[in-house]
Amino acid sequence: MKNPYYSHPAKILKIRKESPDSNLYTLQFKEAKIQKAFHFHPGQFVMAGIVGYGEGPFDICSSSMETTTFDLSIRKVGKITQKIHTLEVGDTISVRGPYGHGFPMTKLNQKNLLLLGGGCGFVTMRTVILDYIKQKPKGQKIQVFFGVRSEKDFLFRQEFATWSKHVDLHLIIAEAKEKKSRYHQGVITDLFDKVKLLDNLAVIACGPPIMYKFCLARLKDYPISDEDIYLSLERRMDCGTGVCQHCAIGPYYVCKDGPVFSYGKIKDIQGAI
Amino acid sequence: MLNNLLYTKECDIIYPMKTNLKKLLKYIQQEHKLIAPIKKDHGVFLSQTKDLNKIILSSQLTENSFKDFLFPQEQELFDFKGAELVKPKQYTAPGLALFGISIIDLRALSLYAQVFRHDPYFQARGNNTIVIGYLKVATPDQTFGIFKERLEEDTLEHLEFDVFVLDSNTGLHFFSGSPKGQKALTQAGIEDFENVEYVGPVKESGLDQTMVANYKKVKNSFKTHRKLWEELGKRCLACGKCSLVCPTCFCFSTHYKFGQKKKTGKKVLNWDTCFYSEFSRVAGGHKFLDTVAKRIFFWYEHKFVRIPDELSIPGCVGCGRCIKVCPVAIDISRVLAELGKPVSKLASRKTLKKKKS
Repeated sequence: MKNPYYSHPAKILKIRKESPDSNLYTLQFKEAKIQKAFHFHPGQFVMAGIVGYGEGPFDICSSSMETTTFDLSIRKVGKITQKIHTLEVGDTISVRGPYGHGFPMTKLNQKNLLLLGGGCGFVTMRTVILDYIKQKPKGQKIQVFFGVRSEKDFLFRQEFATWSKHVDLHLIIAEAKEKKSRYHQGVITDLFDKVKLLDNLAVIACGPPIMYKFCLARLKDYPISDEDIYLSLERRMDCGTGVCQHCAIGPYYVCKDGPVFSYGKIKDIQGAI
Repeated sequence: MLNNLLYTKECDIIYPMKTNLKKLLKYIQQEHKLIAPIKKDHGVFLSQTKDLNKIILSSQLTENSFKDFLFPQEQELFDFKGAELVKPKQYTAPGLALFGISIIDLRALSLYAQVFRHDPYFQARGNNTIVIGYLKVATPDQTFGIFKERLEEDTLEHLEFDVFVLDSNTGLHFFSGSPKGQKALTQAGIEDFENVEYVGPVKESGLDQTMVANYKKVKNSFKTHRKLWEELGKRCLACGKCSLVCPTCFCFSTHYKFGQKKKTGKKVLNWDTCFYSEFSRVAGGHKFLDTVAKRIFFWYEHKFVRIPDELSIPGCVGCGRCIKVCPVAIDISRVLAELGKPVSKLASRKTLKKKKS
């Protein structure tokens, strides 16, 4: 019987500083057969951590078509992530997964997409963008709204130039910007006033609950059904398999039934958003 | 068939049949540690015993349930060395015999079997345990649990057990529910027993109607009966005693424990409770269940919404242990009754408490 709690050692191949408190880790499972069997869908996550300290859920943010390595963007925010930030190339992170259901890309590829990412919630959008650039589904266009507090908080900054060639990228910062800055100033919902949205649109959003609240209010002005708005939720998780109850919302488990839910599915659930 | 076994004239009680129970337990004791209802200072508990004369045979539920033994408070998952876990070569568990498990607790055990079907540790414990259900029927119209259930013809075929002993005034009647149970009965020299084939937890007649009614009551009640949940949130101490004794509570967290040698230790699983404020805390400090009202509702959601949705079986088996241990007398059956009323007819705070007996 497969042990659902067992995490496999993965080696850190590369660390890229993304922001003052976030690093991008490129990882590879030490066992070749585990790496070979590791396939994921955009929006899925892994339970990762350091043996002896703890583990938690992290969105995978590399292209799902990359099979030899995978990336996790980790922000230094708690006990485990602070410890992870002390690791160096060649050190080990323990990983199990992938878990949950990602974005329904087969369905979503029939529509244009609006990606809404707030702060470090943007992580999971990178997979969607990288896959789009590699696949380029016929006739599909993507708009990206990425909002952060200040310019230094942008993740994946060095990829923006490449992304801009393929997607309609809009970046916004909340704090006052410097003169001649190429970014918009304001909060992510301000972009709805500045940018004309595409037609036949589905939405993927990942960010703090407060961002969902205001973005959902703005999306009501557009002909987008609640079933075409997908949100990726964050919760505490211990098992990743829908047993330990930490991540439960109403009748669902964020780890097993999510982390991606259509807004239509969870809008009436107490405390979901 | 079951009902026919329950009632005959008092004089028909066949006392020698009791010997069969002793024979069975003595046989099982040879290879298993016997856990049975034993009287202690503050009630009857499932505890390990070698002395069969200490076993309490009654229709009363034990204070604790099987979960203390099949899902212990702390479970070792892995050893670790340096930065890597050491996967167990095999999953071992002590050979236990759980005797005196009520129908109510057998229901909860069937739920555990579903929930932990992919957990090799639980499966190993289950495989090494022989479960002997027991029901003492005191009166013909006896009901059990807070939902006033009765023993019905098909009750046993929807429960997972190895042996079941029905103790009525017509004597002891033995049932086997597994090859393990059949072997134990036969080897113990009991030939007069009936085989019961487990057909799954859901009855052919459809979903449990009490479960369906409670599901409707609880599902959206945080919006419709907000005041009630807030009242409960004010009263509840969030001590978590209800979840400790509940035979269908199984939430847990995992931790690392360091050993004597540097960089070695164990990864363990511990019981948790959703009543504690840290339960929903994520990195950075945000708690999704930030009030006691939200946490007590979450507990009811688990029992009456989440488990029925996921497994089509009740997440509350109606044992009433939570009512018994609650220090502020919150009574789950009274809460459910209140949730069935329109908001305008909600009772005052006092009526949510258990009735004085």
